[in-house]
Amino acid sequence: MKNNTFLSIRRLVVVLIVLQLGFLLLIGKLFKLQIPLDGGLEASRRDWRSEENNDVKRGKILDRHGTVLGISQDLISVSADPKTFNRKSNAHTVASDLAPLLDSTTSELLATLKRKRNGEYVEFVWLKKGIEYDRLDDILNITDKHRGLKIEIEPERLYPKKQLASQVIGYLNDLNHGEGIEYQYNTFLQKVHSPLQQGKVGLQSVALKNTSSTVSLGNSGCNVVLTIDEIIQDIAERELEQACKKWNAPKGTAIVLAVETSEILAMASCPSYDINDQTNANEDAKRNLGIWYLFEPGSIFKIIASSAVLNEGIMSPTSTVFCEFGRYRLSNRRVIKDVSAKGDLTLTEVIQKSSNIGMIKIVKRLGPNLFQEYVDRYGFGMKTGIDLPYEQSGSLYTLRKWDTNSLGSVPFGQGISVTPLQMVNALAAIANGGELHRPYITKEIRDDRGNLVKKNHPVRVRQVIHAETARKMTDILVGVVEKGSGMRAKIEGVSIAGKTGTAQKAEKGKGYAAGKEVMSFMGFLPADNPKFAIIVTIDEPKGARFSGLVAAPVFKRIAQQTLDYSDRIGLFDSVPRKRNNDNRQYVEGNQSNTTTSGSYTSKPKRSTSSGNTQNPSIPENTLVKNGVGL
Amino acid sequence: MQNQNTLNYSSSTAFSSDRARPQISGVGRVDTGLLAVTLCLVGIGILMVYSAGHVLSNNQYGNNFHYLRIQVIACVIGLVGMGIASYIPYRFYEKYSNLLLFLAFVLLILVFTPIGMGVSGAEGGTFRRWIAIKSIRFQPVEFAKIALLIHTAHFLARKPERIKSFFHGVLPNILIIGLMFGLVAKQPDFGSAVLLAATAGCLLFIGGIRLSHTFMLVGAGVSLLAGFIISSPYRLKRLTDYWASLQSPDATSFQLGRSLEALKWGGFFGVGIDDSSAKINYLPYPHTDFIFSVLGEEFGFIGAASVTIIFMIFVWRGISIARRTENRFGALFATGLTLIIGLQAFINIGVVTGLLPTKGITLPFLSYGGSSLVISLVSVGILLNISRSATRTLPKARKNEPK
Repeated sequence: MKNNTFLSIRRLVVVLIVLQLGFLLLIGKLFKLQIPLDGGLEASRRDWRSEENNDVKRGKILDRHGTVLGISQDLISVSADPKTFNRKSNAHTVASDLAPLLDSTTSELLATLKRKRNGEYVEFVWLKKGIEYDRLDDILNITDKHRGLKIEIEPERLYPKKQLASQVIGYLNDLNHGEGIEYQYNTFLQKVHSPLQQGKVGLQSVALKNTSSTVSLGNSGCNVVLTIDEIIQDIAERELEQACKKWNAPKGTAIVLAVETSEILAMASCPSYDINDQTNANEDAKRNLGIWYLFEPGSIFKIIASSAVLNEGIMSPTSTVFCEFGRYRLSNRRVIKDVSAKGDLTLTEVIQKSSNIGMIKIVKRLGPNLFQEYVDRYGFGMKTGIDLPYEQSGSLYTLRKWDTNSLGSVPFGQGISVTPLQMVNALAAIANGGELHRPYITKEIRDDRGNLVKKNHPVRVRQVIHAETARKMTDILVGVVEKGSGMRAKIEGVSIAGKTGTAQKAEKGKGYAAGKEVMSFMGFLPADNPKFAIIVTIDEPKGARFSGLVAAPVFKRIAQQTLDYSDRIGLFDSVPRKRNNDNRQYVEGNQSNTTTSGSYTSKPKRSTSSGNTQNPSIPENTLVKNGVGL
Repeated sequence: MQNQNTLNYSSSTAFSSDRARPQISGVGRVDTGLLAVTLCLVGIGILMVYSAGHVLSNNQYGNNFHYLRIQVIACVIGLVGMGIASYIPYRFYEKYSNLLLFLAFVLLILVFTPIGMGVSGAEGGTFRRWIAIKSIRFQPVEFAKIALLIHTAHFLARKPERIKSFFHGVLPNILIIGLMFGLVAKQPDFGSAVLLAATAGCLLFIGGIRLSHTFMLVGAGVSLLAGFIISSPYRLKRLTDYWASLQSPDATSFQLGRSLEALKWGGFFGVGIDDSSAKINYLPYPHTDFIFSVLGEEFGFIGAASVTIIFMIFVWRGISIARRTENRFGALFATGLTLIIGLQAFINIGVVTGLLPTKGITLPFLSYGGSSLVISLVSVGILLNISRSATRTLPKARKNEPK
């Protein structure tokens, strides 16, 4: 009997059963793998449909009339994995099926599909990106039929106007950094924004909670409406580019500003780029030069000291200064020369002939403290506060170190740096009866259904000079165009106030060199009823010595076309005209004591002496504080 | 009554019954079921080696038929071997069991000498699994498996009572199995090592090892295995991949992911013969380790399940032969031969369907591989020879046993 326990049939059967159960488990696993119970293709199609609703589509960027400058669209991309092809779904059948749908040729697709790396087919190729969403069904029919094809649906950012306002619109990269409006208003563009959540918090807190929990107000972010006018922007960009090309200039910028409100109508930078193709674009072309380009203003800066001396009553337009017949030695032995050697010149003539010596004499009469004060009043050395990122504040370093005895060249715009926007905004103050405004480029933000989320209103910063002084300055500047250095800016039938500027560029260690100049012209029109101010700045034009030849004609062409256009569509009819009309919703800066005309003694506060800090007199959140909404 | 459930033939009665029945000497009828199932698998194998391997064959050798030709040659040799083996009385092997085991160890050690051949693996490291003399290559592990089975079966059959003793019965077997496991795992061929240890373990279990010893050995085996896996980064990675794949289907490893994708595309009826795209470039080892994925893609659930069922029939026939064999050695040997093929099939299909962690192990009869096919067929030949001596029905002792 003892042998009986040695070879166990029971144990043999146990092993058999365990192994057979194991095989049954395998069959079960195969069943689960190979026989889809969830409806297969139909289910995958449903997935595509539902996925699109989850993401919020980025809002649009529009110009002031609603023309689309930037928009997000759901686009389909088709990719293939040629390694998974078989006889039914091979490169040839896939290519011939897809070619008509992808607007491509069979041979083109075939070349892509048969691309090899190290002798093997690559595992992933893009066949076509950016197919319109309407074609989803057709494409799904093909991709479901063949193996190894995949589609992706992604919202893509399109800019239908290509290079138009590209630096203003800017971009947003994967790290959520960027430039321009895309960056500045990113939170609005990407979020569905409920207008209810603004302002009415106290009473409706319960209702608010309900709305925020069901924030399906549509699947688009808010739309940003710019103050930019597409047509004017196009005019400015075209003329600027032509001029840059003509004079072989590496950089140039033009800004068109609505005088009344300091709305930006156009902000052009050259070089420019097609914003749809950011990745390949030159980095330099992405800079918005209007707020980023620092230059020594040169003669256009003369309007500051002249308006100051008039405003203080120290001189009148007909007061004369002695101009040393074209040669004047400063106390630091620097010799200042004038192009036209004259003896006595009136204030008006100093500006019209752009005499540097005359300007120094005028500032001498004004005194350095008052001069500094007016430079501050006009907003130099501070950011203007425009709603764009990376605005430069410029540098007034030389001015700060300036002492009474050694008069530098600051009076005629050397030794300090400004941005084109600061310059044209200062001019707009003169055009606007001495009232300085904070410039802005975004008119309003609306949600997907058109409800207002935010609105920008004109912001008066301060009264810089008396209205009377502004009128006198305007007359002088009209003379510049009528019979002075800016004659090439003249338009028949319209009176224009303007000023030319030619500034030599300082190079490190070499001082001011001839041949490297920044030529600018700024002006406003019509002089008797100013509507818009324009600045044109051309960097290092080759072969021309005076800005009257370079920048003034550009100004003229932009001004002419803008004027024709604005008259035709009545652009400024919508902008309230009369200065004392209370329709305008002013939001005053916290410098309320400076806004009352007459008390000009208080200076805008400055936190540090370097002049490089942000303008403290116009806090960024002023508008929100005052409860009007930006 | 417990003895009714056991094969209660002592070696002496087995010997006497041998003499009483002339067919045991090798002239009785073979088990036609087993033969039919085997030929069926070999036929499918030839088809699949061509279908799954011709693209790779073309890439590597410039013609579509390289793998097919070798497989057909191996098949012919194997069938001849099977025929011969079916006439060699299986008791012959028992006589030389010690010599065969010794030879197996020599061959396994030779792998690490200059006549051994190393092949660089895809995940780095060299796999020394072959012995190459001129152009003839073969894997000693295939031979070693059989030798180990013969030795274990012989050990259990000759003095059956010894297995009840730990030191005289269990320990010597464990040492031999452990040594062979170590040598094979060192190649490294972890899959085969596990396979032969598991099969020999099953023999010990059926041979009557005490349950207390069984639990002890299983415990020791599991902890050793754990240590072994942790000691090697690539084995550990395979295990963690496997664990991740059980948690979420997205985390499957590259190979397995491709395999599962191929099976999925196969669906119920399959994409049709030669229409698998898995084999074209993107599934690793389409003609060897992952041939079942290609089969599952081309013939769908129908084909894959059928092949699995054929293996089930194979195991059923094999175990049935063992049960009907009165000779203890024959019964144990038949069990071992059946299990080693059945377990290997189970592991291979388990791996390609994601049920088991990835292991480099082939599918018997189907996967490309000369020595593997020849040895498998010879194994079936031996099984057939054992079946000649088996009774038509279950042994008389079991006749009255309630089912």
